[in-house]
Amino acid sequence: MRYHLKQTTSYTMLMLVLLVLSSCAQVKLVADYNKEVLADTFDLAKRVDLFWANYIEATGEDRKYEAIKEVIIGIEVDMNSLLLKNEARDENKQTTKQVENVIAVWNRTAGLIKSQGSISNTSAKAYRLQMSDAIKYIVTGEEVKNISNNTTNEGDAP
Amino acid sequence: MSFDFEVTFKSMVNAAQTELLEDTEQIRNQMKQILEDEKDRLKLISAIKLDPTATEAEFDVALENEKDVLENAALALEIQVRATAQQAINAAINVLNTALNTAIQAL
Repeated sequence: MRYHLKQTTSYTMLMLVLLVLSSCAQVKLVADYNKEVLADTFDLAKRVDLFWANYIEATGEDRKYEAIKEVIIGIEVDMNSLLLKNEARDENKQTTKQVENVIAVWNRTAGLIKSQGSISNTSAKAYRLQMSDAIKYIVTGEEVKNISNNTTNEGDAP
Repeated sequence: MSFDFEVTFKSMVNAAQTELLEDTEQIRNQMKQILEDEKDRLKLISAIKLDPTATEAEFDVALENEKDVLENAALALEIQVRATAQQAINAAINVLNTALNTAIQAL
């Protein structure tokens, strides 16, 4: 009888320990979905696309670096702000790297416009699509986090 | 008191598998889209080489950019895979949690 009681108590304790462990042990491999960062990413995509649409339509002096310098710098500042927001999030290494890549593409392209004075429309069209796709993949990744957290961390999404 | 770990473990595996199956199709579609996007960009990059008004430096920058764009595509896939794994593991943990709660309530 005493042995049986002892065994039951041990079994109950074991189950309680397992229950506590399984209750706490929600695995997190991607950052929580962040609606604000996603909205900022969409805004950036829009600004970059508007820049290229205007550049392709522009003629003469309006295509020169000096004429578009302020817009280029403004977009770069927005990109750096988006990078900071992503760096501050846990489990967000991949998205942070994606934003760094977008900044690299932007700086490389803007640097070429600066060094050459302007670029051809054929190149502008290619760079426009490259920028657009590079940002689109950031959005794709962020949306996946929303689906994932809906299942595993309901209510966490801001 | 009824807590059969073997039965619970089978349920955990089933829950994880269900999550994995749901996301496999999504990963396949994402990969297909990445390849379609790549095709469109390569057409435009080739056009730079054929345009006499474009410089060699413009073509070189397009190629360098392409490496970063492709890395972004790969990173988006990585996020999808990690999210799928997260869902599968947590689904299994939820099954264990439910089974333990039921067993403890029966005590």
